[in-house]
Amino acid sequence: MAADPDRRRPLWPVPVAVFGSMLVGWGFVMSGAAGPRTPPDFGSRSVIAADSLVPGEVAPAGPDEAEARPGVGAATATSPPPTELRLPGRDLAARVHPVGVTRDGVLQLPADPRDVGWWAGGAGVGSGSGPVVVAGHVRTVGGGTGTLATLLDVTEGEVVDLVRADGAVVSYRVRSRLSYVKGDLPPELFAAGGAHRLVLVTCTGDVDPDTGSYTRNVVVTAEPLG
Amino acid sequence: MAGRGRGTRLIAVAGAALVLAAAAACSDDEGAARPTISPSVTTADVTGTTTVETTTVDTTVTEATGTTTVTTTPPDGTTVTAGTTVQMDDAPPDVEAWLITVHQQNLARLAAGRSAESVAASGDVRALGGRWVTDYPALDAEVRARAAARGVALPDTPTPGSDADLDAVERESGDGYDAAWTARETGDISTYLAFVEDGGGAAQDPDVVALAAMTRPVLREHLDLLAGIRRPVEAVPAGEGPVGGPGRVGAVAVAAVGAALVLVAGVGAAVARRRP
Repeated sequence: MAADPDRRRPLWPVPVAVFGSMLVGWGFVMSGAAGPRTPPDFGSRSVIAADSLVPGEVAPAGPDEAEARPGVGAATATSPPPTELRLPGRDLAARVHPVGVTRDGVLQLPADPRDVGWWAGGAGVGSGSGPVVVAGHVRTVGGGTGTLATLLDVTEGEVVDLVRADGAVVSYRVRSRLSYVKGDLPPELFAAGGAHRLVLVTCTGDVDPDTGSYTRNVVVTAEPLG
Repeated sequence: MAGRGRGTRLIAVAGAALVLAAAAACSDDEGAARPTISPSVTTADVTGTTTVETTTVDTTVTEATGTTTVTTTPPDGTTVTAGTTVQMDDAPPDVEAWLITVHQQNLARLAAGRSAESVAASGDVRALGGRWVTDYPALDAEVRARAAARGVALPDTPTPGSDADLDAVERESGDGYDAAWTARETGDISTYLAFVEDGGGAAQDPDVVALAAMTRPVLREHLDLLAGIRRPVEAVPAGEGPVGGPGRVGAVAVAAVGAALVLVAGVGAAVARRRP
């Protein structure tokens, strides 16, 4: 009686292949959770270089500040804060909250990654000089992907709108996207004075498994339209 | 109509007396509750002086003539805008809305000041809170006087949204509270200043003009004070991932091991098939 050829075949490849496949899948998923790939840079670093590079310096008064308005006197020196960020080309919007800086220099951000924070120590929207700094989480463990994760895909020339508390809409056009090792953000990004610009910041790179924090920041700079 | 005008004047006088009393009382109020000010005094003629740090405003409300006279002395003391005389009459809707908005802003700032005085970690922020507690009731005294003269009923509390924002700030603690408070006050006072500058549909109203002239330098000074304690940005922690995970390198290594196992299994199976 002939032996069944199937019985002579070893069975070990099957569980090994299944286990190997599981490892591949797990590694794929965890690689994604370990942070987005750092997007390629575009644009010039000169876009962010302000004329005045002293962090925290008070921005000079704009020329419009001396203008008088009928009935109520001089025009405002400080514009109303932004309340909404929009990327009209992507049908994307986020609420904006004023945020501050803690004693150790860390910019506070809204916990909800769908919302973004406007640095109240920076320039006002449409103020004529200095950086309007808006930042938000790329992703959080409890909140999922953030609105500003779109900065990883944004392209040069895209329009970004900020809606102010008085209803005015100020538009900016993306000029550069640059990434930095966290902790090495150039101070001139946040320096008062220089050309008026919008600075959008989120995180990218790997997640440090010990701290849960990302290793890099991605910074998109946009210039006022018109 | 004449009776209504006289009634309005009586209310105006009572309100003016109230605000002068309230201005003095507010700075001594140690209560932690959000601010409310209620009218309760009636008198014929009231004269008072309110000093808001750099601007002095003299107010005279006279029932007999039915007028409110306001004299404003700017910070430099060299120019006096005197004799702004306002007829006591019902305020148009835009003026009423303007007065209510400014009043609620003052109440919100007073609440924020009291909060900072009791919660802030740093002396700088507590000191700013103290300034708010002094300055905004003084500003509001004038708003209330003019609102009373115009027959405008003012709410007793800030807007619900403002209360919610302050609650959010108060959920922070220590240095985080200070940063959140400073940011919120910068945003809100900027909004307040822009509103005062714009004037809305009431920009030509004499009361609005006088109140804007009185309020503007205070708000600008407060924004300068806030700017004076701001800190530079050094780090933007804009994301959080899983703690204790393998990291990208570890995950790729595990995936590579898995792929190698699949490969070995495939080769093993193929070799086994070829055996006789």
